Amino acid sequence: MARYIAQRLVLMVITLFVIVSVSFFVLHSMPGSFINDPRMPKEVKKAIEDKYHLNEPLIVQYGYFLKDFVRLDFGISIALQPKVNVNKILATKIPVSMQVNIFSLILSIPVGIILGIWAALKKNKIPDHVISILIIAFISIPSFVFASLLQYFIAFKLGWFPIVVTTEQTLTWSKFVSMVLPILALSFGSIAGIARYTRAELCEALNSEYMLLAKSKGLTQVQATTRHAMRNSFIPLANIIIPMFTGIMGGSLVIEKIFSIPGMGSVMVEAINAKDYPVAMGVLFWYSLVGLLTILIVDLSYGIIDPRIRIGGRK
Amino acid sequence: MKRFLLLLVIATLLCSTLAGCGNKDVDSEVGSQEVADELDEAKENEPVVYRTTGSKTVTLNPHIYQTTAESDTMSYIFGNLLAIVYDEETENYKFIGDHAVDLPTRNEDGTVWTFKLREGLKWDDGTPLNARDYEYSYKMLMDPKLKNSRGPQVFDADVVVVNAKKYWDGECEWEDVGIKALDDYTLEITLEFPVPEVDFYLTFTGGGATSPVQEKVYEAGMNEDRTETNYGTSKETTPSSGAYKLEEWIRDQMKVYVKNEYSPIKDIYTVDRVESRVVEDENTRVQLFENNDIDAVGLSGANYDKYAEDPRLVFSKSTTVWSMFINMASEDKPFLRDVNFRKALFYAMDRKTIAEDIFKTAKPAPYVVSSFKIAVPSKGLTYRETEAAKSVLPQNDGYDLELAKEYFDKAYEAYGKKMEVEIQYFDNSENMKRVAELLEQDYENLFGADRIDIQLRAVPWNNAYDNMEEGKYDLGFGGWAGGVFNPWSSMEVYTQGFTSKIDQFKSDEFDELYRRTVKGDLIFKEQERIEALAKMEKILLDEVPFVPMYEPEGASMYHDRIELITKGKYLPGVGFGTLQSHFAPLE
Amino acid sequence: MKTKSENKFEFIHLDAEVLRDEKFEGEAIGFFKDAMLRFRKNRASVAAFIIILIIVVMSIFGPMINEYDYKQQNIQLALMPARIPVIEKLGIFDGVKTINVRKESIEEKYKDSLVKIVEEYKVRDVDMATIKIDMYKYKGVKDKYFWFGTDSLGRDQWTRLWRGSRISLIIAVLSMSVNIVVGVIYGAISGYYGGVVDLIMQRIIEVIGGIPLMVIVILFVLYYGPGIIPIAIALCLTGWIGMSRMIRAQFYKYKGMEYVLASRTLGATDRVLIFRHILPNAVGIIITMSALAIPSAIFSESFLAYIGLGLQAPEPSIGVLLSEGQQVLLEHPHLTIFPAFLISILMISFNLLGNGLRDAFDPTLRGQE
Repeated sequence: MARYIAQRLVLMVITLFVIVSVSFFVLHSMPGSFINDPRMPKEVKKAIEDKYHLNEPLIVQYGYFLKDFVRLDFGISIALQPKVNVNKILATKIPVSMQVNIFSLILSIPVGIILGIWAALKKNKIPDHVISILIIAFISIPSFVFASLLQYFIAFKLGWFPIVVTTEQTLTWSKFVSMVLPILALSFGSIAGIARYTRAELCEALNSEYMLLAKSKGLTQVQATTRHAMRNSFIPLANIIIPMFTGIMGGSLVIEKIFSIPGMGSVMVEAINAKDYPVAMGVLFWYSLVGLLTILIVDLSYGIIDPRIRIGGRK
Repeated sequence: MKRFLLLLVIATLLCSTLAGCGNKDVDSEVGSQEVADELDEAKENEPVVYRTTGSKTVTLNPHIYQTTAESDTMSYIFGNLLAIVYDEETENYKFIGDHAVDLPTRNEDGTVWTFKLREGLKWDDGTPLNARDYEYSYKMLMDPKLKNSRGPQVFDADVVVVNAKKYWDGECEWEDVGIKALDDYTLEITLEFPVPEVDFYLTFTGGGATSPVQEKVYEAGMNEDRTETNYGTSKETTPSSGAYKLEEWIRDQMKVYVKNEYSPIKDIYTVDRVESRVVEDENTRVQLFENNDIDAVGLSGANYDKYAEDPRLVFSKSTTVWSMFINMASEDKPFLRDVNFRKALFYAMDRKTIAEDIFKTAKPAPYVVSSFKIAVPSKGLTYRETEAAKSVLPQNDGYDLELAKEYFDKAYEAYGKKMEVEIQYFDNSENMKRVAELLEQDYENLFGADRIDIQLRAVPWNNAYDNMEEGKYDLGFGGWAGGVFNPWSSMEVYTQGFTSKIDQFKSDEFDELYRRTVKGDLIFKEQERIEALAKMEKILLDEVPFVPMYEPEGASMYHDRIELITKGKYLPGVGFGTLQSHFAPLE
Repeated sequence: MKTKSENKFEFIHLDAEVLRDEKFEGEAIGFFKDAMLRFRKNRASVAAFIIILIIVVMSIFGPMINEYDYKQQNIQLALMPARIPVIEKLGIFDGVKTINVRKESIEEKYKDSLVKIVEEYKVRDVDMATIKIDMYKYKGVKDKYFWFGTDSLGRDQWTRLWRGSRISLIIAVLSMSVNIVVGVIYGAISGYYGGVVDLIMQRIIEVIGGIPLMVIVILFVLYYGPGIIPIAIALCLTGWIGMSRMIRAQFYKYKGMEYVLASRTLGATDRVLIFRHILPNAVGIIITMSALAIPSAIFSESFLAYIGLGLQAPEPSIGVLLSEGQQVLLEHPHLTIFPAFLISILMISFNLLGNGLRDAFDPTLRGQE
């Protein structure tokens, strides 16, 4: 196991390096400049671009990039927050998104699993149909519709919650209250996702012989389900729940915009649109790192959840 | 499963602790409410608060800022030599001295200007501010190593300071540049060529690139090679010198400004405290306004309908005339080179529908120079109000289908086969897409789908401009903003010498007129200058390198408690004069 | 082996008959036939299948049903609310809209079309009123019916919606088929062979998944122009990764099982093991994922439309319609409701269909009633 993990970690470094390198060239091959003042004289524009080595051959720029990259320094932002270090930007932005996402996670995992179990146990009965329809509604209706409707009816018309998230930096009660609607809006999708997989997997497990055995040994349906069937359903579930944990660092573009949360949601899109290469590369690197770690954890979790599976084992 | 139960328990615990804190909070709020009731009588003396929304500001370094959100903030917190304010007597704008005692004096030919600064000026932290700070700031603005993007403001704009460009390029010493602090209170600026007063004033008015920066903060934020500074990247690195100071700045979320006690012009403004929140979603803004959480809100076309008859509406103006540019030098589509074809497009342009039905608040504009631009600054007279401008204006907003067909027939005859053209529009604008869709239908219906085929293509906006610069387009939307007070220098974008030219128009006659009105003999000849401008406009309308479409107007609403000092009129330089307006106390 | 008591046995059927198994009464039932039989018994899935068929048929013929064209504009009739014959009598979709006006203009402008005055109030000493008016009467087109209303250029939303769903479905089916084929094969190979092969194949996936998709799509659209094919290809770039991961997980689960081992000992080839013995276990997952892949492809397409990388105007797609509607969601909900409703119906139907198909194809349920 330890050897496997070590092997994977080494490979991860290589993969990361490849991702970052390929992305570097892809990003820089986009046409356009970070200077968006169309009236600026050409030579002035060129002089400013020269300062950031943007007119040199790509391979040379790549060299400059690597020099800083080995120290995990992505340099300073050139468009999104000019002159501010990229890592510092992320360090201020990520916690803002995380604050909302953690609550959404705390809400959606238990609710999703419980709904899923309930639906599976009552398969093809009324609760199952109601839950299934809700799940599908949550998955299929775009999040901006939910977010806008929540904001319009609950915050604006009824006045139960503030329209936008308050500006306090620490987590106070009033801040939490103002975060309720975005938390809800964020949770619907993940609740639905978890519930649907739980249900699907459980339905399969409930038909198996070991359940029959468990029940014949005198376990109740609920006991048998939670202790035996659930455990067998965790493998596919790990595939979606573990990424949710690591995903709390990302933000939702639409929901953050609607509730005015200054989080990560728009950073990548804005960085790409503004040709802010340092920020784009920084975001890309840190998120790839988290993503790769997630995949590793998911893979390892297979073996923990079901000892029969030997990760890395051959055919 | 146990683990999940544990999670649930933690969650519940967490929520209940939060709820616990909350109760305390509520209590204290009730307490403060009572205090507030007691102090009700003292409400008259309460600070006047203006609550508004804005966009993100990416930087508050005056040497590199780019967006209007940033210049709005800078107008609050950065002072300058002069200020422009609303004058109740003339009911118009007025230039006054801010850090300068009064308006500058000039030598006879208008190339050397001298500012006298007030004594005892201070930064918001109480440290002194004088002419040396200004000299340092301008030195940094043009610093060859920093390569600040606002540097061109003093060598490629209305005002060109002697040797400024050379210094920026690193080709001369600072001593050679035409900016000198003669003593602590005198600043002398030498220009390459004379300019009219208003252009010079404007360069040194209001918070922006020519505002002073505080040396100790600017230097402290420098990196080792002196190529970057973190000035203006956080509240700590943004000293204020304007009528307000930055009290709080949470990036991408909110800013709070309060009156700066050291500002010499602070008493002109009635508002004591400005709270500005970043809200990017338009519907959210409108709801905040309706909910009385903010005092003013801008409305776009989609939301405008609902408030079209609301008495709180006011309209702001723009210096841009949006146009459809035509690649009149097209290699592979010779009919684009045919002026008859371009005129056909001009006369078939349904500007009224575009302005009123798509943009809702825009005005049809069959002309080049926006109706907001001032031609006679002393009287506040706009160019479009002059006789010369009226003489070049086409009939009926330039909408004449018969004429359009006539021109098209000629062009079609000359070309002889089906014309295929592509309109490129910005991918981030629904309205632009609608205009493109409308034009496709209008042109194809009028000229016949068998004779002209129009394709549409969405392009990211900066790529769209690049395409136009490189001549890789057929038709494409674009527009130039420019100074309100100088419609002449705005014509630079159509001259052959302009390096970021997006049209393919070339005329020596036009260039000569431009030179004479901006740098030549006509500068101080008011009437002839206006006539020359009309002539330039006429040349453009005859050649049709682009088809002018509309002039946007921004609709916004102010809360009942605000009595706008301009009575809802939008004036150059001061807008609605919000900060000078009368605010009834907040309920 | 011969025994002494050989003669005590008597051979029967020696010449007369050949000993045979008893013959099957009915016809032989293959895997797919069996699946079909069981699928037909699941009424919900059959209903879902019919609904999907209807939507497909409507996306082909829907635009021709009324007199309007998907790109024919009528700016005077822009943003008309929905009005559907018969249903309008119920008070919904009757072309009525709530607006805020000055009180004096009720008399001047809205006298004929006024339905009712909801509320009166005062702003800056001006009398205002919130009123409901019949937009069709107000515009003088009482004889017209825009079933789903019109968009900001006065184009018929019904026609555009069906035209849009046609394009969205084409994009979704195109990208889904590619994603499934690639994902299944990739996941199966990676999961089955494991070891170094898996290690390398998974790293390749990580690299592909790591490159920002948006940039690739922007480059794609910039160079090849917006269109059905570039967008479908863009959705295929990373779309198959999820599927391949799922399949790989299934292979890990099953490849160590005793029956696989047994089959391998009996000399089954890799191909047989993969496709005959292990993959059928994953059919359920494949079908569920494909059923989900169609709506999610429509979603991805609408995200691209949302950030401006949609189809070439004036061509609609569900994504384009949704992103147009989003900005005016509260003012003109009809522009969002109908596309969102259609997506939801598609989702529900594909899901039910997926569930039914999964049960039908589940090898462990084979032959059961």
